Amino acid sequence: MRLLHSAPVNFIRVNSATSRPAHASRAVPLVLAGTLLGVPIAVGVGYLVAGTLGIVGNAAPGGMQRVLADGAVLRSALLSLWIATAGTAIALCGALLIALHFGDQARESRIARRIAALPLPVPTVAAAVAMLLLLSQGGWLSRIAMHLHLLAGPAEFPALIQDPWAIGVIVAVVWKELPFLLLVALSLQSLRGTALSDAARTLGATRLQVLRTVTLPLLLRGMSPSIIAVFVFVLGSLELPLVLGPSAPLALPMLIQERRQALDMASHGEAYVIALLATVLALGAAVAHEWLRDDA
Amino acid sequence: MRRAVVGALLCSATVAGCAREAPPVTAAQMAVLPWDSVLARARGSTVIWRMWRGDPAVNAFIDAWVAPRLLAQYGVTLQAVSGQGNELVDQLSVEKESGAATGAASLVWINGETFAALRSRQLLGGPWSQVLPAGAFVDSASPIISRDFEQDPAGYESPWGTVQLALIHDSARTPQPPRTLAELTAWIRVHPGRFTYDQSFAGMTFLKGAMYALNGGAETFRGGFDSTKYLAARTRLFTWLDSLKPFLWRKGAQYPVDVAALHRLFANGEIDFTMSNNQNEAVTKALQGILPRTSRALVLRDGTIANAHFVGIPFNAPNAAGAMVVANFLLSAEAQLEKQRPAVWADGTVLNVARLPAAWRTKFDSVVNDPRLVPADTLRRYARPEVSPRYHERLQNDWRRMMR
Repeated sequence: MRLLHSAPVNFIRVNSATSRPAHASRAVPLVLAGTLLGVPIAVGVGYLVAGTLGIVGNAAPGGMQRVLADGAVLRSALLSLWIATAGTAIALCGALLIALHFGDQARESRIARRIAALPLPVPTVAAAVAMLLLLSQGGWLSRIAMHLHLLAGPAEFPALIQDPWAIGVIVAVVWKELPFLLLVALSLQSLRGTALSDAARTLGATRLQVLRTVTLPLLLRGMSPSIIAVFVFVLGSLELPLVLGPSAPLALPMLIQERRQALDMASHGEAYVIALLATVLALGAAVAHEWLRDDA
Repeated sequence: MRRAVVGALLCSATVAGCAREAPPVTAAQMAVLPWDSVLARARGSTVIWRMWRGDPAVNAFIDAWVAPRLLAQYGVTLQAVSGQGNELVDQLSVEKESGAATGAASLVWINGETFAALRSRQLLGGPWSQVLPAGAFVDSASPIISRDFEQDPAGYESPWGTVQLALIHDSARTPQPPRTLAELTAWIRVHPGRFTYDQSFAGMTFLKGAMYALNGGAETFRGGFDSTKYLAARTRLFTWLDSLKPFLWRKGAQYPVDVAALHRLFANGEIDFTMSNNQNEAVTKALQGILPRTSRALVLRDGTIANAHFVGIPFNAPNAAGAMVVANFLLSAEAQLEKQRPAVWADGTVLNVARLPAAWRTKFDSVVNDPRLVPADTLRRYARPEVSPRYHERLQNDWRRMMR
């Protein structure tokens, strides 16, 4: 998934290059890359389909109908979509605000970029545990508040971990993904320069008009592969919901794991079906993105 | 034997060659040989043991204590790899379906429903465990050790440890803890938000114990799975849970995902009880700094569930002789004693200590009489056996569907 993160930079380079017919020498790496990326995906999806149809594993017949009629699956799908949407949206808004604020000042932009790079190498599971230590009802914030006599007991601290709205998960998503989106936004800005917005200003546009019609659309269009990558990554991530998420409903990846490890074998087949459903959701987001881009 | 091992290694490299490879000597074939012959065949071989690798203390015992002794005493190289429960069933099913004569693992750590699933699909080799010399000291009179969730091991698995569910409280915070299920119910109502259970194995075992207590004891459920009995018992259990729900942590709307999460809530002071399938975990986890030093275990007088865990040999084990040597070593007094030390793992022994030589008896007594542990006779008095694994399976499924 992280491979996609380099996409926006490539996108710019391809666009800025003069269009030439593809040579045979280009076809070889293309086929190679396509095979390396495509074959594992094809095998994975093929295995899920085979599992759904009962060709592999222990799926009982009618798994698809059972899963689609299962309220728990629907609630899990909605929770995962909520986490991915809210997390990505908040991270994006934050990244845009900071980028627009610092983007045209070279020095500040460089400092912002360095600070933003800090959370990137932190493993997701470490970030999850850090949030747990900080935000749980017996965590550091809660204990500080208790020492200051602001709270009488841990139960008075708001439930941010294992809460039905998955606030703890979303906070962790934002902490991990905002810096990444910010880096993308800042490098896009420094690559683009200010020529277009300067031209618009010269032609009499107000600052707000420039922002609305030039800067923001250009930035969003350049960032869109990264935004969709973040969304799909969060949708399929297990670590954050495992450590920070609610037990009812379970995030989709956790529900898959639970069904996969259930004691009765009928649930195992359902795990394939739910995993296929999760794949469809992720693919749906990617396809919708391509479609919107072509449309724009 | 060495050729079989080499064959197995080659197999994993060239899948196509597998079909032509001669099948290895099975555990059942090995069991009719004299023990010296088993030892001779095991010398110089490697045993791959698929086991639960979730606890660093257990891993350290296996990798740093058991493995070097096996190599020094028997010339057997032990390699522990990850895999448990349904993963094992899945993996061996796939190996059987693909028709490969030789599998990868020679030993698996199992009990209860995994044993049932493996047996019903004919994925275990045997019988073999009756021929282990160290088996002579196993406490076969104990119903907890001689039966695995009511099933007769029938020589297809060898016991190597016992555990019993216990509640854990902090003696500094809760000096007068409840001792029966009724007292616990009253305590929960007086202390809203301070009790919960986890939604995986330990929590479900706690609920199954409560189901026994609310329905006339473990005896009610003996003799295989009975759907009518189960449904009546489930109604009583879920009615009791419904009455408690408003007084549980997060009003019963959320449950810790596993026992580690439950321990964390307890250590953080968010709840006043945690629990463990191992009666000694109050001490081991306190030594590791995970639980407060003042943590103590208690067993409810209504009884708590005890069970044994076993090792089995897959039907396609490449090294049955080596696996039998490992199983035998695990039953030795030295391995059983080391395993039971609170600083190591604190897993209960399966040996009848009274029948051991006096020197070993003294050593075991010094471990068991640690004042921080629940006294051995208390444990024995309140130990209740497991019943058919179907009860656990149904309860877990129905709880997730109806109570969560």
